[in-house]
Amino acid sequence: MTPMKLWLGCLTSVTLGLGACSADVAPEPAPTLDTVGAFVAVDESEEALSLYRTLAVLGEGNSADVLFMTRYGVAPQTYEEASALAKRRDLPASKQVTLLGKDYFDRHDWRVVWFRTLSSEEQAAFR
Amino acid sequence: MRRLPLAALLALGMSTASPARADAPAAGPRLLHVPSSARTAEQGILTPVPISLLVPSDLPARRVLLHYKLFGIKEWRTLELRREGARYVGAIPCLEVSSLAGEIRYYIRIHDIEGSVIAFSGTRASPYRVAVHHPSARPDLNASAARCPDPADCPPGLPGCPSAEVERVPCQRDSDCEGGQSCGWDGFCADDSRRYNWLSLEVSQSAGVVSEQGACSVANQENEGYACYRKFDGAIYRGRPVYTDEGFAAGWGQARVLVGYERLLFYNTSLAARVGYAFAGAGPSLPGSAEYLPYSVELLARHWLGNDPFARPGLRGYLMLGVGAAQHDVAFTARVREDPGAPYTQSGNDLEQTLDAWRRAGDGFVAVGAGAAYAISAEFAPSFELSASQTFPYGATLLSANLGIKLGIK
Repeated sequence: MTPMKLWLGCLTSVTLGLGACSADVAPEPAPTLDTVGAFVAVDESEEALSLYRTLAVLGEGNSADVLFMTRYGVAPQTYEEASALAKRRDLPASKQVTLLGKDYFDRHDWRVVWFRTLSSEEQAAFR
Repeated sequence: MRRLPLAALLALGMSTASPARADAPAAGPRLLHVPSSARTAEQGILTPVPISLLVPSDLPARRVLLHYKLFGIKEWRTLELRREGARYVGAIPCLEVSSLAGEIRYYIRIHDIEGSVIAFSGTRASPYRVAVHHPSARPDLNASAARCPDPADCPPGLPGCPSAEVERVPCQRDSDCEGGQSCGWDGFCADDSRRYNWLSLEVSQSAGVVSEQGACSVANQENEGYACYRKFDGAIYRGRPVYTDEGFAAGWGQARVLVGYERLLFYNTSLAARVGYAFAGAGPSLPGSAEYLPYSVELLARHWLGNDPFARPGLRGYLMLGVGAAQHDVAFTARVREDPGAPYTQSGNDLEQTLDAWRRAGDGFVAVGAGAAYAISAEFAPSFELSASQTFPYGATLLSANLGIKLGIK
């Protein structure tokens, strides 16, 4: 083995060793309706979508659960637009908390468009 | 006629010299004394100057060299005397004595088998002198029928013929050489314009490649030298990232100033040491962790390309191998995806976000590279170097570009 090959071998093994193997990655969990911090766009009216955010969940993980949600004063026309709005940190949120039964979402089309961990103020409201 | 029997006088001088220990080179070359009255001689033109030397038997002589300077000629020439029993004999050729009147100066140095000068008689500053007179001035000195041998019939070096001219004087150290020459690695004196010691001043900029796999997890930030900060508020990222298929990230490293010393060990080999100070590019240190250490040390071995590249100005390329210690902060942008199902550890983390990240790699490293210096003169050479290094135990692969100057000193 030439010195050059030896060096390249060492370099590759050390670098790859530190990087582990890309085949070992875990699946990417996605937020759901009852994930605290999830942004949910709901097709409630013909004019526009509504954008909610899950603040807390009360229940045992079934359709009888109650979701504590806040509603944002925006009117996205598409889920993509809703997702883009949800990523904005200056989104105007309603100060009122809306309680919705989980079965409410059985009657409407909806999609989780984003997720962000709650701020400390938002978390404090439900302690 | 005042012509002195040089051969006899030198032989007398040698034989009357006090014995010296031949195995004591530390005492320096032995001085073979000749009475000051015997240091001059006279002769006519076109006559060879015979030299005969009786070397003391305790001297481990291998070569006896006659150094002489003809009238009107600047440089000193060298002849090797040939051995005839216990004597070393030779002659300054009459063709070189020629028909010009003037003064010939000479002295003798005796070398051992390794080339060291172990004895001498006369010096360049205090040589023997032979006055050469024209027949018009001293017909008595020119009465002899001295005849120049025909160089075609009498090759230099054969018995009875002119001595062979020595073009290269053997040596073991610089003190064995004269006339501003120094002792080369090949064991012969030579006009040496090489600079054996070099000081360098360089500016270096590095860029690195680091593993991005799980880089910003709390565990990796606490244990693997990573530091990640959220872009929107600058807070240290303490979220729960999902390990996705991130591979490697590249980013800038530090800008350093490097001061070095290099010693030329052989025609094509040098060893160097560099110390450095990183003046830009260092990342922040996490609370509770050690501060960034901006200093670096490095040992380098360089193989210079070409045939004796330090013998002359011009472009000198080289390959290098180095090892050292330094902290290398590699700045990069990390993409993380938050695990929405994990318990909260930090508020305000988006499902996906990019972070300002650094990896503090090091503290050891090995490096290979190549470079070049352009010697404008024997003492001054701008230089450029590209190197790749691998750090350990905190890994990163770094590419560095150095730009600097080298100053050569004897």
